[in-house]
Amino acid sequence: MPYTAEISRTNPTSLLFLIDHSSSMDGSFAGQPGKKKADGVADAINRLLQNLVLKCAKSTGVRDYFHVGVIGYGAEVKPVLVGTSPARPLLPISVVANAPLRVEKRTRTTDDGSGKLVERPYRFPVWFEPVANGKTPMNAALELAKDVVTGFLAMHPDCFPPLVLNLTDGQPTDANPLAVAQALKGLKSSDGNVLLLNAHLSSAPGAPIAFPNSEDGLPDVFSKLLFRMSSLLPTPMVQAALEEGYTLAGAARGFMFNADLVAVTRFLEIGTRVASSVR
Amino acid sequence: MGRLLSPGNYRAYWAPRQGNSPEEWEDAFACNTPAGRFAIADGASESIYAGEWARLLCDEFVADSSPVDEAGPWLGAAQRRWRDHVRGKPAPWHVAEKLEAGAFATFLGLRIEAEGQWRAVATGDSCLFLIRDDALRAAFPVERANEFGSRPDLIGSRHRGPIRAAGMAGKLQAGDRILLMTDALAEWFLAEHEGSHSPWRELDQLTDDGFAQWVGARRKDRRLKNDDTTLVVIETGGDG
Repeated sequence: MPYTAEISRTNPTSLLFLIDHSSSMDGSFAGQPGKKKADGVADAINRLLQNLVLKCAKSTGVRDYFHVGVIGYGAEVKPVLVGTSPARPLLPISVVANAPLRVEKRTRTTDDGSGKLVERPYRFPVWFEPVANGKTPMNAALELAKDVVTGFLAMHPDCFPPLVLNLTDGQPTDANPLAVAQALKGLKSSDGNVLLLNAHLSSAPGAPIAFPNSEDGLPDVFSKLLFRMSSLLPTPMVQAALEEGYTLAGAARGFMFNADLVAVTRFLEIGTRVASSVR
Repeated sequence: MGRLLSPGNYRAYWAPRQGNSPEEWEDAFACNTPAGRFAIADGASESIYAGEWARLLCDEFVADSSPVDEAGPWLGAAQRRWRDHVRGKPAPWHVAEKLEAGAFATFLGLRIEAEGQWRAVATGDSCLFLIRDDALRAAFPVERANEFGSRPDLIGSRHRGPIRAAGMAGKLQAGDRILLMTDALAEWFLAEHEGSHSPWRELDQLTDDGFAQWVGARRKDRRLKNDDTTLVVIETGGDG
């Protein structure tokens, strides 16, 4: 059965994020006038990396269950996670863990156990800064992703299939990325095909459309394109989405349209929930 | 009936998750036969110093002499020892963050009195099975194989307040056997039993040297989940 390979130190998987760095990311999420999309995405990715590190951290060190990379696409298309380079686009999670750009002190409001709300400080590592500059060369980003994932699969042919998560607010400006998206999804390990998930960030008010199984309700040619580029959700992700309270019809795709910041965070959480199968 | 327990009448077997070293085994057990106290625990591997926490829970439970309930003095003692254990350890941000959350474990504690009265307390899915006359007579706290999930109740090393726990009691007869298991083996055990097998017979054949091989074979045919695996077999006296 596909998508059941165990994720372990000897059989890690990879997580690759493609982040739209185009100028329009300087705009706000619809419904959240104070929150720039670029800032929200950077926060969401930093929080996700933190949670991944915490899942893998033990007293004896961080276990390398994952190799992680972030490709930014805007004025340039290149690996942007601190410590990565074109020659080394993915890093073991232990290396990521120990080399954030900085560790910020933030506070969160929590229950103190007796029902009283208190402010508690916590550490917020930052690996990834917001960028909004240039056009939207999504085709080139997917070409690079295909090379990166091909390289990873050569090293780890039996891995849980690599995940590629693309966050964008716009339309490709370089070429139609459908063909390279299909080629990327055609790559596979012995446990199944590479998974490509796409989230379209909101520019207009309205409820997000989450994990649709048809493009009929989507408003324009670009949202339909992202739908077609997206993988069918495999069983573990369907379960994760159901646990998160989404209603899914059969043949749901890993696509979210008009996602606000909350929806982006949940999308990333569901897309990487397979990570909870590691021990 | 004479004493049901005499020193040395338990056997224990354990194996780490495949791919992990023996030092990375995060289950624990402890047996204090003269006191009739036994414990088994499974450190939650997403937490930090979880194996140590599981061991401290077991050690403190079997060293305690209080009645068996969910929050005896053993719990506070284990929490103090865990805090002492981690105090002053070098801590990069990810370790520091997890130390504040504490370690977590499932736990089962059992006390057997000289007259055969037994009482167990459990949080999560570490399990007890009572075998009498070649039949399964009690399964606690999990009764069906499909009840094992990925989020069992846990005891936290920094937890304050009441603990979610279940209790069970009974009276042993001469020749009864009690098996304590962590979740992977317990799930296999119940699934086998539901399939009209007598899995305790298979476990009776185990030897110290053969356990790892037996576990490896069950993992390979996917009947046993790849997880830390621990078994304690407590034999009660014969005819007394």
